[in-house]
Amino acid sequence: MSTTQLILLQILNTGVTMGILMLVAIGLGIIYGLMDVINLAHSEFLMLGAYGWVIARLVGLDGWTGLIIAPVLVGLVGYVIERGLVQYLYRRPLDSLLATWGVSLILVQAARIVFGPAPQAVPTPLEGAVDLFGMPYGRYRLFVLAVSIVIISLTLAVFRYPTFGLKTRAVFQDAEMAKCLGIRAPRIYSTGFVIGAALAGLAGALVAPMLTVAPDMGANFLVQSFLVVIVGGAGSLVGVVGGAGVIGGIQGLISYFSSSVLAQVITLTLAIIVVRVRPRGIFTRK
Amino acid sequence: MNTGIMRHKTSRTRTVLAGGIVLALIAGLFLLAGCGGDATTTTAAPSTEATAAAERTTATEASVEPSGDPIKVGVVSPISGPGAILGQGIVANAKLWAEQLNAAGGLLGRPVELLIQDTTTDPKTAAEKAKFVIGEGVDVLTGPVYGTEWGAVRPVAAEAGKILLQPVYYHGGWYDDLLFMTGEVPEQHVDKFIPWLVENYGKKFYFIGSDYNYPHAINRLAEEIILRLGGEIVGEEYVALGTTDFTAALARISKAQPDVVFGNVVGTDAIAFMKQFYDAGLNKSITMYEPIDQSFVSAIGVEQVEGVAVAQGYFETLDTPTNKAYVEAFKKIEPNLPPVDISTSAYVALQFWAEAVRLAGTTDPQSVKVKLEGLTLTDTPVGEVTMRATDHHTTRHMYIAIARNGILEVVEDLGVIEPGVDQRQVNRE
Repeated sequence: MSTTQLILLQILNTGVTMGILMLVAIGLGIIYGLMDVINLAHSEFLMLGAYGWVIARLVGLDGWTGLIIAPVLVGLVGYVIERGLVQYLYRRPLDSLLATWGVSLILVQAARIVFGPAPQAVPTPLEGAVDLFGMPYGRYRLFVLAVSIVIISLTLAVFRYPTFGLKTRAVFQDAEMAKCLGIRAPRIYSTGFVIGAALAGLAGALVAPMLTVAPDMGANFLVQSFLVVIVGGAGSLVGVVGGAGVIGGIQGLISYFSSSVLAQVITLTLAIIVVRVRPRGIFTRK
Repeated sequence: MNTGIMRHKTSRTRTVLAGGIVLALIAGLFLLAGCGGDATTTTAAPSTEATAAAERTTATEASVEPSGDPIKVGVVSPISGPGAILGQGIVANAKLWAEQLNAAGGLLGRPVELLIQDTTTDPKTAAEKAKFVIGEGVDVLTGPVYGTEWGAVRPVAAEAGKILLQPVYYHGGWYDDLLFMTGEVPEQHVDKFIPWLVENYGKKFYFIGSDYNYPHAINRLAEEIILRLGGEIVGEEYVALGTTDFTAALARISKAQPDVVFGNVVGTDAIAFMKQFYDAGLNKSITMYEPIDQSFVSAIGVEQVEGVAVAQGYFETLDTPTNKAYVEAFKKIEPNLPPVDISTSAYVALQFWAEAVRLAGTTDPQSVKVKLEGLTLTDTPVGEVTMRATDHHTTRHMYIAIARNGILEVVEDLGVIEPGVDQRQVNRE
């Protein structure tokens, strides 16, 4: 394999990582941006999404159903959590932080009790590799890359173009004024929360065949997606998407040319610098 | 798309957001630190039972009815939390041990009672629970899994003057007056296994491990042996705990073309690593070692794990009458878990203790200690085991297994291997 091919391979892989990171971080960004709620249970949405495959297998469904079950199921769980808990915590970041941390602990231990503590296998739904510039590349990875691009574009479009998007952005900018103008903010909050949860669930279902399904798998993604929101800025979806690009890209490049440990050190350092120099994130205009 | 959305947000919210990240990081690190202390790759299959926070078991089916006050044994294990995978296996083994002992007339004619406590995989809780069972009058404790838990329980047991049985294989170098290890140390993993790998697969090795003390320790020992045999290390790298994407490492491995990947990536990271290794097609030309056990195989996938070579002190497939009887009895207690190296070593540790109590005629820790030192058990599920008198580590058999059709089949008994020269001289913290 030539060096050019290796670099190309690494770019594709970094793309996959970025895609997943974006799907997780967008929800975190929406939830924080809309209702000032810091959702520490967000990574558990990813974990539950991964269990979508296990659930599909348990009820006897095969093939791709796990991928469809995951966002629906996690969206529902998100709805219940939003109605049952989060709606009482709007604009109370500190309280929401602690409450959702509790939710996270409950969800992890619940998964452990229901599905058992051991990691479980998810077979790759798309076996084999395709020839890409003279080197084999996993079909499933390409699929994940494509799905992430499509879903992220769709999400950005939904928040940009239809009336829902307009109203959401109005609430994003000034909730009180939006309410005065007749926008039903609570409904926007619920919808935003459910969309965020469902996206994380989808991300979980997408990564599961490449990793594994385990009750504590979410933790690995929580820190990263928080870093994305910090670096990109929680204020806008574009910021979050950009942040995921920066974090995913840096990690991909540094772990290729050096090591994943150094990559972690550098991303954390970057986050500290961003918090100091551009507290609203790289991609949020002042 | 949108700009200035945070315009209305106060600096307080930003402080809180920063607080959130700190909390998230702490939570993340906490989880990773859990894996950090010890070799914890091994897992066990789902179990629905034994999740109660505090549970007492008195096994009392006895043919020769034991009588008198029960002898209490503390099992302080992670029944919930990330360590549950192994903790539940240790608890099941303790139950099996107590049941068999009581059925055979108890210990010193008295029944054995387990005090089972859940550490929730939290060091602080582990220390509290250890204090609790000591307060209840136990003379012996076992059960923790992660290095962080051991770090919390060791001083508690030592201060109270109780025997502590440690069955988890680890990086080596621990020694306390009343601490007894039945798990393996890195010397035992590599001493005969590395030469076997060189002979069967080739001389070019690639080291990859999770970035904590165990992989570093075992790689230094392995390197020495490989170089002595005229082999070479064509690459060595460590990945951060919690790594999910191994593609960069795999690209380097593919470029280096080793004969053997000597992997010590642990926990669920190992599953991701092995899956991606297979997906990249590297399994076709490269043999992989990873310290996995039977319960991992199903989580990785039958095809993905095919041909992986593993060296450990115990495999379920060991073909001895003692092991077959043990496996059968174990499945009755815990049908959802396969017995694995770490949990079976807990069973062996308790067998050691019971034998020493019989010899001493008392459960007094100092008297039992004297009998434990140098004690040999000839017939355990793991084969013949000797508790070395000097440093309280066990001389035991090591076995090599290769994954075939989803089962780790024992292909070679490497015989009895000493746990290094003297673990008291070793410093790998």
